[in-house]
Amino acid sequence: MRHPARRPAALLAALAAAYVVDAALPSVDFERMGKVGLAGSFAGLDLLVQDAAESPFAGVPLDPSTSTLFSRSLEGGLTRLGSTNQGGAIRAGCALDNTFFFAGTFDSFQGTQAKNIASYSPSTGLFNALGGSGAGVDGPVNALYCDEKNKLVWVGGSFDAPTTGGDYVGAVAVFSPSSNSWSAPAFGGLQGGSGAVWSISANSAASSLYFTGSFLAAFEGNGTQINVNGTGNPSVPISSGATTFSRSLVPIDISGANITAGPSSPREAFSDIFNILCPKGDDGPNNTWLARDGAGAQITVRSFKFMSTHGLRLGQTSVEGRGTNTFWYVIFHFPWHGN
Amino acid sequence: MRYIDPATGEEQTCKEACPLASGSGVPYQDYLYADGPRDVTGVQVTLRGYTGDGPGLHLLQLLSDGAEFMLRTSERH
Repeated sequence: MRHPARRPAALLAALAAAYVVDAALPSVDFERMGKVGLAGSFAGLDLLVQDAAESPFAGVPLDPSTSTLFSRSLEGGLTRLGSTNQGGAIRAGCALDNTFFFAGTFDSFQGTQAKNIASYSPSTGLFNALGGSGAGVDGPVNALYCDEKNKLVWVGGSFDAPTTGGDYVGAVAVFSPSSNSWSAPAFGGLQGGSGAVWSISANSAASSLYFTGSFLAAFEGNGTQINVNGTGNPSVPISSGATTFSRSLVPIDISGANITAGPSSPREAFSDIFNILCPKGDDGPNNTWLARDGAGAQITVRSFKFMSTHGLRLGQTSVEGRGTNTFWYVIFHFPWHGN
Repeated sequence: MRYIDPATGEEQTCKEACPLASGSGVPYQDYLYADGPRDVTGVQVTLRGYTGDGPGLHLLQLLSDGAEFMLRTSERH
């Protein structure tokens, strides 16, 4: 409680005197309740007054089986905006420009079909589904983060993907209000554990987002003994080929990318390029990729999304005295077609 | 690209042909873009020079710092 009311009983009495007590308010026998504590995150206490006569909710009682969105005026008065379907809940909300985004578990909001997330525009007074009529995400939402800088709404929860479909890992989706469209985050999403995100928050510079929840995010080293120098990232083993930046750099998951390599060794244990993205063991069979004898080779990684990359990490092989001496490196920065 | 020469510990740059140190004593080498992060849709690594019967690799990863690649998704729209 940020501003604890030291004398709640006296405050309630004062408020009761200031307003005409509505007959619909529950009659509470405060005498018999003894001392009552009110806990939560709030800045004051008020009795809910009846909706104004011009409000569409005038005379409509609050249904406790729904979750209701209120706006608060500068004076502190609450105005009812709308409610979820029965059994629905609102768990998170954030504002971006002149739109308020809220989410939780619901199928509709104040008569507008929307799946677990919706927006409210105070200027029009309208509720909208995100990404198309009746759209949203296919499971509960626990957290929202409105990214002012990039004008994006980050959505976290226990869902697989937006109902509009697409390639998602799960638990995280990004909504762009400007295009009214959904996309997966660059890292795809989060899975493992319960596959749930419970909170999304930014660092003070708003340059990083932190996700909490139940998921597994494993960036393994090369599977050998990982040495930690005390302050570094334990997932990044020491290498004399590391740069001063290496400890803050993490590999991007490109296991979902289109990767071709050739000409490959005809030996099965050395011909799968995917084995070297995150090798499970030491340099050797099934942990190393070899080119065909006596030739150079080319490895091409095609991702169907833009990735912000700082560079490349290569690990040498010394299987049977082989090894790469020099390589050429080309980057692509145009969308691939034909996905 | 910038990299550390494992033999000397000094930073070097390479433009077209980049060297990869031989032997098993270096778990990996990082090659970072000299001008900072780049938005890419893919990369191509051409293994040219080799020792022994042919080239190969034990590890291939693209590097990102978590903060950058998450917040740059607006590039996709």
